[in-house]
Amino acid sequence: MKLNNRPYKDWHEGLTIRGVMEHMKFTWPKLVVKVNGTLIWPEDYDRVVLKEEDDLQIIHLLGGG
Amino acid sequence: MRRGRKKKAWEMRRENEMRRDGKMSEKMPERKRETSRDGARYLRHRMLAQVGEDGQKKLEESRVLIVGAGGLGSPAALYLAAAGVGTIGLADFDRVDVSNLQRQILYTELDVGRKKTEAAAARLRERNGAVRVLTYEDGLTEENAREIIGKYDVVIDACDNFPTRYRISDVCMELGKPDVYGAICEFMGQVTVFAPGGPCLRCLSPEDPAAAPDARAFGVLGAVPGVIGSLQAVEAMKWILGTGGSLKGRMLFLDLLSMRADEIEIPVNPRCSRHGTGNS
Repeated sequence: MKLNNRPYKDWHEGLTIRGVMEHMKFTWPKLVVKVNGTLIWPEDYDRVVLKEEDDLQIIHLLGGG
Repeated sequence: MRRGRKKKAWEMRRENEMRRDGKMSEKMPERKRETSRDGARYLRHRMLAQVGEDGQKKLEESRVLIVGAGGLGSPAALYLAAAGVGTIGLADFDRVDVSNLQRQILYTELDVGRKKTEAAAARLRERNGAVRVLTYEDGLTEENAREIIGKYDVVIDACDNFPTRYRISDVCMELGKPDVYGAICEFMGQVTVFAPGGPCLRCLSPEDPAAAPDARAFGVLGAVPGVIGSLQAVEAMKWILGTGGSLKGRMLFLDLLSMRADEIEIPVNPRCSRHGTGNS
């Protein structure tokens, strides 16, 4: 599995997006998440189970000006 | 002052007034205002195949609204005024604070305490007297957003909070206007263009007031909004000129600490409340 274009070594069966966020300590309140190019809504972070070949992107959406 | 030239009465009077108001040091040189609108001013624009005479005319006839006259809005406004954009609207309710000066390059120490719209408009008129500057000192509110945005060709989102960002995106989608989105935090910046036929902010992320980071809680290197606001000005001008590759449908990410750039594609999202059937 890839996270933000880099190999993610801690993939395991049943791993969810939320699991990756917790493991990688993403704490920013507004994130944009894409799996294989498809945008994933926050309510699905617990539901989407990642496959070993998945390409996951997690991006901080900034708001400052 | 140039050696040998005698100051005119009005110049003496103006300098005396400025000294009285503390706006001019004794050693400040005189300035001659260049107001000519002959061919020289935009020569380097006209030399570009993508601009030329027709493009410069398009810029001079265009109307750009900048929401937020802060870190992003400062460079965007200055470059658009310098480029001769015909009408620039500035929406901001805030006053200049001394802590703004580190990055908000529209303002000087003399502006602290002034309304940002007022100080910014004065600065832009100094830069280019041919540009019409309109100010909205209540900022962009739920009440005035449609009326204000409806008067412009392009909107630059240079604000610092998500409720206003969603308001800009929603009204731009409704009225068919491009929304040039820029945002910053610490050393990072993002730019995209939400425009008719493409995704909007709700396609990217549903609105959730509980998940809205407070930009004021984070530091920012002063030049970072300079980079991002300048990119917003470039995107706005390219949109007006109808040239180049727009950031519509993709978001550019810059990490100026590691000095790396990345981008993601933003698809129109069927779960977006504006584009699809979802609720956001």
